Amino acid sequence: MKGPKATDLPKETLASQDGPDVDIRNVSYRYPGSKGQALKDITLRVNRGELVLITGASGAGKTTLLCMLNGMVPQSYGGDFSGSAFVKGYDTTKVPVGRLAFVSGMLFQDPAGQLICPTVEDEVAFGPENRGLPVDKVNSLIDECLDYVRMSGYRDKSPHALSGGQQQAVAIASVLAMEPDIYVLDEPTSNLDPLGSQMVFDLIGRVVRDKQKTAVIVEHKLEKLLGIADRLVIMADGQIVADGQPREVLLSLSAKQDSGIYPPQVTELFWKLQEAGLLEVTEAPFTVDEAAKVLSPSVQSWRTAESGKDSEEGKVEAEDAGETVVEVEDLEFAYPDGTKAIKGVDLKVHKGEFVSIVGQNGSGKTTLVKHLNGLLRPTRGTIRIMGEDAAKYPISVLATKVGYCFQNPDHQIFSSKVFDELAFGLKNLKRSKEEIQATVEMVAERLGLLDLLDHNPHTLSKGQRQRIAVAAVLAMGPDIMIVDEPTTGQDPRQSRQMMDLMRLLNEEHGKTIIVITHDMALAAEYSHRLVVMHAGRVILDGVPAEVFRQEEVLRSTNLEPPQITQLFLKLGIEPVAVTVDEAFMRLSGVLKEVLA
Amino acid sequence: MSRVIVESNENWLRSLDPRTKTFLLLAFLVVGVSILDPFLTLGLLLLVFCLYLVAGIPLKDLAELSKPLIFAFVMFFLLNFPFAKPLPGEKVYFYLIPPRFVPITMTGILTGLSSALRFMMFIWIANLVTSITPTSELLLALNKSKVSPEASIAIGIAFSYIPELQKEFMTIVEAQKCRGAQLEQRNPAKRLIAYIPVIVPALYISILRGQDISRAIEARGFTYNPIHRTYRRDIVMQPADWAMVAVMALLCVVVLYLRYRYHWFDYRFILNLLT
Repeated sequence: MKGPKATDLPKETLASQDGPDVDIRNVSYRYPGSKGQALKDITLRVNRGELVLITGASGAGKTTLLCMLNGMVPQSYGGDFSGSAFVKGYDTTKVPVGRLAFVSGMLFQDPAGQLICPTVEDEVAFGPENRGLPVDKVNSLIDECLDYVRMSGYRDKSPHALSGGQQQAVAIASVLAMEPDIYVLDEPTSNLDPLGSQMVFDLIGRVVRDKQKTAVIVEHKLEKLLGIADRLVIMADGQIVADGQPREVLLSLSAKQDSGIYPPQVTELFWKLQEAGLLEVTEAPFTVDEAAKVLSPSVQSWRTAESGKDSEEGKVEAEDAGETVVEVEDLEFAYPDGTKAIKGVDLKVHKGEFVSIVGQNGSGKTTLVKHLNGLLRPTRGTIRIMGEDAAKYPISVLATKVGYCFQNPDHQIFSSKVFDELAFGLKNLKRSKEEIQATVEMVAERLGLLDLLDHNPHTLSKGQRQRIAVAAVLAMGPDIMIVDEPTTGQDPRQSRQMMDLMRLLNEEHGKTIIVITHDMALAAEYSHRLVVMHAGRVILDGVPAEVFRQEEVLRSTNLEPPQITQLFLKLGIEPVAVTVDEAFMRLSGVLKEVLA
Repeated sequence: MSRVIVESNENWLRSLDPRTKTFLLLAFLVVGVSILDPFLTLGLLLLVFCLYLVAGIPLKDLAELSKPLIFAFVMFFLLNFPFAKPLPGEKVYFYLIPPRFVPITMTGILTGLSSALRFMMFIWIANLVTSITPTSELLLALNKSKVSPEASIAIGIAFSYIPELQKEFMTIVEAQKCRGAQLEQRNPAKRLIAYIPVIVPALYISILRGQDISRAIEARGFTYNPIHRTYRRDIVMQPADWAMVAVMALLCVVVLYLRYRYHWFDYRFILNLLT
């Protein structure tokens, strides 16, 4: 076996095998050509068998820290490095990356970007083949690892033909096959839908539990991982600002929302109640069950006192509908290969509504909305936009009524100046120079881009590029804006910025907003209405509170209400809250009554 | 090492060694270039069609491939006329541009047909061979041909990523259509300009994807020891492979000999035999 067991590696790079698995001391690092430091005086020790969860806002240095664990920083990227970094006793600045790869196995964010082979089994074999293992050993690793991630049935498939969750499972299998001592996972679920995320979290849990390996995971979805993490590390601006047992760290953070950390909703609720002096807790709850256990006695005594009162306030009515701007009638759509993606959908969207369409990948969300601006034409049924049959108009005309923003701004940005990017649609509509100038400036001002009009969009941050992409669509003057998965691949702060922008367009400028998202909590917080799709059909449609009541229906489609709604349903408090703020208002009333 | 496992339901054409398939492609190219007669070229085209049937490729796929080629076929046919010199005394049917420019003669028709059919045949055979040769086999063939592991892995990854990049390309096209871009222009120059908003993001995304891939292969230990990496599977030439290579090699030799020794298979070869 040619694998880099401890004895294979150069002696001068080996510190001590008995120390911590990860030993980083006073590391500072600057990328080549960058002014600021990506890491500032980082010290981190991870012991064998520990699962360390790292979180923090985008740009905090999390990925840079992970890349240091397999030597890519500084070996592949270059730059200025100071301090020392060892994994399993090997100096990550000296031992070649190709060797460290078998000590620290790394899994990246985007599953599609790391799967490089034509078939699933080739993918799993790639690492062991690189290690020069005998063929029999490689074959047994393929069997073992694919079996472990339950993907044995897909071994001859192309990895690119799998769902996001399955792709990440294959990527995990390919890291497992390298038999590393340390698992380094960089936001492994950020591009996945809830089902795929759950599948990956379950797998990570099993790997850590069964294989008793060390794991360092960067993740924003704390809710699912806090339960299994031994330590929580919070990074901000290239530094570690908190490191310790997860409950202690969260308690010490309290309600510091500006840290860019979005803890589980129930934890956030407890922070608020504690700050308001309504609750005394020594440990922040992570789960609905933990939170319900603490709140149950108070809610029980409040409910006894309230039992005689008529509870009309428990009913949530949908707002007055108003003018219909989108009308979908008996829509069916089949792809050329015969796959039916939409099966008899009826849907009305009213002027000024903020509608979120939720559902797993493949449920038909994107296929449905692509009919609204003519990107797809129905196999059966009709689409009316502002009362007019959409079939009569080409995309270029429909684009002035229905704007469509794609998930990745880089799919549309091509100009070397922000101004030209915003003017592109207007030029296609053959508007006059004066009109283009005036419209671009007006839209840029609305979206806070006025100062960037002369900049090259490719040099701006992803958040700014996303704003440019929205502005470029908005410049064409549509009354209806469709935004396709604006939160996928984003950190919570970026997701909120995008949703805030949509709220601004909705509330201040009267635009009708249709958002496709996987994020149930954000959908609940920002939307007037939720449309749940499953297998090409609309299965639920209503105000968020009412939709979330249908827990069983949601679970049958692998969706679940936000944590806060689950807590209210569990406690039996009416009306159910769908946001932390709503929950705080309701519960502070309840707790005040109980305390009185 | 084990030979590439061929599933029992696969036919003999698909199960050929990737080097044999590559030789088949080269042989068809050599024969196709040597034969100028359109009727014989049509015969070669029919032979490739039969290979599609043998390979079990749905004819719907072949039709999909051929549809966009029709325009090119017509262009190949028409563009030959200005260059096809009539034989001395040959009958001119009419002139494409009055009064006496671009004569339409039998020679012109035959050369036009020949070029267009050859073009079609080359595309069909190239598509057939790539369709029945999995990228993993191609990689093994490159490795056996002493191509460096770095180059063969790069080629393998490039092939694997074609569908992914096609998907990205289609998304970009949709994104620009949503902003009113008119991509379907008849004029080729205008069409090229119209596609700039598609080409620029496509290149940008391809570069980003390339960076992702290079990071991913490094993280999977590719630089550990590329020269001594294991290749899980091996390819061995079987009797069927040698037979196919022999037949194709013989065909090439015979055609080349008759073509250059006796000047057979020119544009009017069959016509002259019949008249």
